[in-house]
Amino acid sequence: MWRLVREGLRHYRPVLLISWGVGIGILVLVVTIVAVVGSVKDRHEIVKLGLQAPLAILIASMVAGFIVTGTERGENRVRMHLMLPVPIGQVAVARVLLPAALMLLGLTAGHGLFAVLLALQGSPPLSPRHLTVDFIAAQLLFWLQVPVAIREIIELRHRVRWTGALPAKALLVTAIALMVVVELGPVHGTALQAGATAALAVLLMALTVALFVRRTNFTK
Amino acid sequence: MSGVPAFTLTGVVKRYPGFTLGPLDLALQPGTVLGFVGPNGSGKTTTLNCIAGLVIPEEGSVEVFGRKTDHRAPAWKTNIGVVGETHGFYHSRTARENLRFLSRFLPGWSDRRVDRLATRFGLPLDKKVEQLSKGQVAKLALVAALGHGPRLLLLDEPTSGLDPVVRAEVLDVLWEVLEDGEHAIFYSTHVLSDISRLADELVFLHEGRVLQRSSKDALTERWRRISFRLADADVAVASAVEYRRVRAEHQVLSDDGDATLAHLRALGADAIEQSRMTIDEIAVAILKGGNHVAPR
Repeated sequence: MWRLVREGLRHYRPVLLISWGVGIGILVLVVTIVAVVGSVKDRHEIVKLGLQAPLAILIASMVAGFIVTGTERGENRVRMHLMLPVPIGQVAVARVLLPAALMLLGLTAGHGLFAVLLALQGSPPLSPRHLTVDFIAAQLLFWLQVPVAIREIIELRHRVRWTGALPAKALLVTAIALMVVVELGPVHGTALQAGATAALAVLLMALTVALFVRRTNFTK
Repeated sequence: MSGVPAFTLTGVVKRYPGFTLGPLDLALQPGTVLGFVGPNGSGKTTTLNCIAGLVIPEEGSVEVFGRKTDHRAPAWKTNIGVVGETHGFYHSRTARENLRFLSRFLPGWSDRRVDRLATRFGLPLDKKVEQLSKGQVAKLALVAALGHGPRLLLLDEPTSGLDPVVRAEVLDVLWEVLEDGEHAIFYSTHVLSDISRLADELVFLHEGRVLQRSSKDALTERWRRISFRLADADVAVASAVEYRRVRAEHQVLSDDGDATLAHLRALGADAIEQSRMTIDEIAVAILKGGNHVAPR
């Protein structure tokens, strides 16, 4: 399983790095435009804008994740991986771990960048505000996994009656509803929100894995 | 030669909306090439996918060299090489990188074997897969399938998109694979000229069911095209699969030439002429009807 993930990361590393470059590039462009022609001239305010850089890295990682899942599907990677002597459970986990690993790399880079920016601003680099980065990363990971889960539910729907696919659909809808509640609702405390969101993302990944190993057709 | 079949399908059934494959009982002995012949949509690819584990049948069981094709215990996959409609290669990686990827997972992988095959096919290993032609991708798929020296090769239209010269090269390579008598090839196609040289046995599939399984030699020996003259307007001829009459001359396709000739002599037919049929012609006759026809 780890070999599959490692090989995937090696293959998609340029995609991730280019996405980060584009993300940071766009942010730098916006900050520059604001600094030059905007009303914000104060240096501290500009640095505050710069604090959005980890967000740019995280969003770029999610975009890379979408590119990876789309490419894997388009190039029918399942077909190749299923022909290898690797247990199906490991193939299934590797499929969801690959985009998650990209998010994890983005999260690591985001934390590093955030610490540097906080230091530049004169704040302690290890402030509790890092939890906000975790919360955002967990949300993006969740939304990155949603299409993969939907894909498995569509596969399930192809082989069972609509009632048979109902529990999986219900789980997905429940997970999304809970996610919205965590994002907008009564859950207070960034640490709690980040934890709950990460748990929902893991639940979704587990659902995807469970559906994949029960498939009866691996040609697509 | 090992006594364990290369694969065994027992009572395999796979249902799709508007199509059912099986029940299918099929086995292949090592050292044998089985040509799996049928028109488009007859279930050839589904059968191959069932053996490869890419499609799980609703009923029945599939074994490869005596092991159930269970994805949770995938050791059986080291014994098979598959060339299918799609391959799952990394398009933005070179052919060599794709092969290297496979080599990290497949025990028995031989870079020497791969290099030899690639050279023989003229396959540019340093080109990205997305830059390869359709024929080159087909060659890469075959090299990838043979890289770990599998004992069972599952081929689904492997020469599709190849020019005649490379087609012949592919068949030569497959001949070599068979040399030690331990390997088996399951060759699914609707182009019979591909396997007429290679196949030991032919299975004819139509609408998900096996119409006939026979050795290639027995087919070419039995099937005849026979013409004769007979005063009777219409006549029921033994073993005639197809019957046509042009004025006084009658023509039949027979799936048992000897029986038909004996019957015609008994009827008093004259000007009897017979010729052997090619595997292509026999396949068309079998797949067109399969059943004996009544004279018109």
